[in-house]
Amino acid sequence: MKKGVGRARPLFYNHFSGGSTVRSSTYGFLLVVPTIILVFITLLYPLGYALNMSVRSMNLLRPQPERFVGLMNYVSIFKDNEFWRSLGRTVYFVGFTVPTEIFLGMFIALLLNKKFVGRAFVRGLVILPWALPTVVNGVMWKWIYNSNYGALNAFLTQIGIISDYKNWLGSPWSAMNSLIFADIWKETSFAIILILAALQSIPKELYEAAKIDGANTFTIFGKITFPLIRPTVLVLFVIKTIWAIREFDLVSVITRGGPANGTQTIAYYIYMKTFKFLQFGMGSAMAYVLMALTMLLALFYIKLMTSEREV
Amino acid sequence: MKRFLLVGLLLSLMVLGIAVEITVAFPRHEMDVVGYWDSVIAEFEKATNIKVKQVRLGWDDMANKIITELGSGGSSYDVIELDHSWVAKFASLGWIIPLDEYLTKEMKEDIPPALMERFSYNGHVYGVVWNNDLGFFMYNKELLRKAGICRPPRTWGELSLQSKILQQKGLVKYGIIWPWEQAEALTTHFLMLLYSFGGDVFDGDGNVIVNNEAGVEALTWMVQGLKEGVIDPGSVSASQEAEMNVFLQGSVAFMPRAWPTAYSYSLDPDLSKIVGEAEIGLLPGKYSFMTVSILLPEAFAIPSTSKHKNEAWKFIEFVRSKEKDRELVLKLGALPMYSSLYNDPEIKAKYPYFEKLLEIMKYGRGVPQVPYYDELSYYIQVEISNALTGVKTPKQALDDLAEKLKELQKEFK
Repeated sequence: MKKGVGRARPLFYNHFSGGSTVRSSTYGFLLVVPTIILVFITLLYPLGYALNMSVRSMNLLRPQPERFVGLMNYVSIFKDNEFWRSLGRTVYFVGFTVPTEIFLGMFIALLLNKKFVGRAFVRGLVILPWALPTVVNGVMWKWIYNSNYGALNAFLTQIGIISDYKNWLGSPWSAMNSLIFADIWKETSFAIILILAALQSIPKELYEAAKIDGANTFTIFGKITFPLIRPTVLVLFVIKTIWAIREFDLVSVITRGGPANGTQTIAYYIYMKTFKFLQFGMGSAMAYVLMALTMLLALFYIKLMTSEREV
Repeated sequence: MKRFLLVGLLLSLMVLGIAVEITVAFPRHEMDVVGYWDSVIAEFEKATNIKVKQVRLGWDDMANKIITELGSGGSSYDVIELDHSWVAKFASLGWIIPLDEYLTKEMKEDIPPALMERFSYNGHVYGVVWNNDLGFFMYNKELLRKAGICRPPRTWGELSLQSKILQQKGLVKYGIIWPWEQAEALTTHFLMLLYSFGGDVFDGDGNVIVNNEAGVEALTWMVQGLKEGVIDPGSVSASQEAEMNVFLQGSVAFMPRAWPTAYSYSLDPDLSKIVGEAEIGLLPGKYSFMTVSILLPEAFAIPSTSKHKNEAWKFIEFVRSKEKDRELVLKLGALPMYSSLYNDPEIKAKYPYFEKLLEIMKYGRGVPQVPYYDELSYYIQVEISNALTGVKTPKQALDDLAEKLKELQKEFK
């Protein structure tokens, strides 16, 4: 028997009909109608439209007329090496950024949860990178990484780590890692904010009791803190993974996918296919494949979370 | 009295109803810091009673907007930007209308044929230039003088050699800077080098020849320059803006493809440490008797979906008359579209270097006119970038590029 659910009664009291009550389900439905319409217009309709495009040879630049091609676009994706290479790069990007950001975020949040002088100020500072628009962030890092007058080169030579200016965006690998670093710098803030909020909702009594029982810091973290912030961390994993898979802005601003396609993520490749080459059919099919992969991941996470709750 | 008011009201309503509004979509001009285009458009509105709605964005955003709009058959725009690389694409898809019947006598007679040809497809003219642009060789004559070099390089070999001398004497760290990040500029720079080595993307019959000897030689020179350290390694990720900054700081001696604004910036003490040191010259070639330059003009065109084609032409005719072109040149330092303006005394006095540019323009070449230019450009960028970063050898990169281009050709047959 579930707790907290009593006898069913009207949820809403209708002020407009002179105090009489409307059946709660009807009233509730009326309230969500605008949302349903909005979701239909902004989500379901475009999704359906894109699905339709993905089974057509919608290729605005080709002389051949548009026609229904069934799953041909999906078949050609499997033959498109660049698609899989871009997907591989995206996996590398996601695999590095998401865990690092969450781990770092947790660490910093734990620090900021302690009392020290100037805590409020530092907490404010932490939000700054997150408050910066991604494009501005990209432009900033492009300057920082510049091989001739970039701040990173100046900094590293002045403290003696490197003797000569390096071109951080000059090779595929180092460009990708530079993007990852820029992303971590910005996105860690978000993890800090969320984890900090979760930390603050943990009752102090738990810690006091643990201390009386003689638990050390690591035990407290393992037995109290982590289990209680775990749902937040999981949510972070889901959101951040989805965001990182969609990574486009940084690539577009800092490297434009180069050099040698070394930073061309899947989102950027789909953008090129669709809006540069006007292969709307192929682009939509690719977007659908990506969506399916993302949904699989999300399902996996959600499964993880629900099993968590049942324990 | 009342009746008069009523009639007056009706009349004014009619006039308001008649005033047509056209939408003009073209990128912001980098040189237009004085608001020239706003003022000339206001003049046009006053003179013709046609209202103009401007859609002005940066070049890349503008390109995306126009291409998606025309691609989906939209009719929002009456006058659009037509980049020199879009002509075949837009014209072959029927997105824009031929302007042959509209062109004024002045335009037909006074616009250089090379410029007209850039905006022609299958014998029809599709665009009227609003931004005449070309790439030219720029070097720091002061640095050359200090190194005891008496003239700028005429071959690519000489360019490497002069860079080495400058570097050995400690005058510069690297001799040359290029904007070789994986973007459109990489394509046009590679094409320029390719042409100057006597190569091309397609031969006269449309066969892919980009991977022939000349092509490999050009790309090998690029890769070799990076390896030998005469080219700034930052080139591989530099944008044109970054390239210009490095040159204006006096950190390198050669900027092989400068543009008019970059030259005028070099004369501005606020932006440049090398005031009076930059000089315009002919691009080196494989041999000293070979040179090319790249034409990169932008034009106005009229989309076939426009509902106000006549008004759209009136706009183009007004803002691109010889009189207005002269104003544009004098106010912004842009290159004239009408050839007779190069002899205009006031223009000559204000921009003495135009004479050199006119000479350079004679060797002007454009990008290949193919409907799939964007894809061609993308594959050039990727494969050249592959060679520059050592992922592939020059020969391998160009062979792969040729394969891609052949596939594209098949699709567009």
